[in-house]
Amino acid sequence: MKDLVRHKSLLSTEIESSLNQQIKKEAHSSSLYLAMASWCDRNGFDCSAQYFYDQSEEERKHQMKLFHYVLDMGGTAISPDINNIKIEYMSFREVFEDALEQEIAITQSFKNIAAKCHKEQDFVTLEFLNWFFKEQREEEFKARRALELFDLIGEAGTGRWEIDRHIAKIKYSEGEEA
Amino acid sequence: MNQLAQITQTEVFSTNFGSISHCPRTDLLTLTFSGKTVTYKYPCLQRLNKVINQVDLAKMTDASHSGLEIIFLCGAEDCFVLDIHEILGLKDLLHGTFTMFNLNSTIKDCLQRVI
Ligand SMILES: [Fe+2]
Ligand SMILES: [Fe+2]
Repeated sequence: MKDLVRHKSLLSTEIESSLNQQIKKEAHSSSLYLAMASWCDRNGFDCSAQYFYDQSEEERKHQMKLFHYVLDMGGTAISPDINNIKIEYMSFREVFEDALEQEIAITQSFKNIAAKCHKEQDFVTLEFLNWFFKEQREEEFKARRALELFDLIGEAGTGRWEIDRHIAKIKYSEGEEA
Repeated sequence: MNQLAQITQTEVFSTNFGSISHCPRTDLLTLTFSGKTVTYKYPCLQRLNKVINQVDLAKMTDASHSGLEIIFLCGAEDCFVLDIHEILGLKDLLHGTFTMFNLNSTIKDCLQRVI
């Protein structure tokens, strides 16, 4: 008999469902960042609002990158349903604490998928995931750097205004020489 | 189904309840179960498997439940109306079938696609 399983798709059922979960997580990230942008916008932190609008767009791109991969490999990509997005934050700092927490969760999630790929020797998907690992390096760096600014500049006086202005300048250079 | 098609069918898996066979010419899968014969493409059979596995069997035994489930597949013409015994039978048949598909894939890997 022909190998119908393999002819249909490169992805195993398990990997396909992990990738679909990741699609949902990226969509969730995108919504979270949009909510953060809204909060910053409402509270006068214009640079941070822009930073989160951009992050939200990026997460949408991550979602679509995964989406197309699943489809191209013969799987079924599932359009996720996102709800329960936080609207209010207690403080400016809390927004960035949540952002770092979110990026860490995403990195961990990719590590779990990669571990599954190793287990079933899905080196094709593993190679595809490398792009995301590199991306997470940048994402975690930026989120951590933002929080660092709170400690460096301090929130007293015009501190928060100063922090907001510096958020716009955060850039990851991958250790290249300046 | 014409004679020729019948000859070329390869049985994938069968139980007392029914059987599933594969046509190597068209790649269609024929499910014979509870007096019905339905032909599916592979992804459609995958969906059927998923739907059957999602049926809440405990709920079906509730006094308020009709005891019947209507299994309707998007993209397929037919639907099944099944009682709990038939659901269990179909579940068994599909489980065996997908085990055979996966086993076949593994064997192909070992014998033909040198690792
Ligand atoms: Fe992402
Ligand atoms: Fe991210």
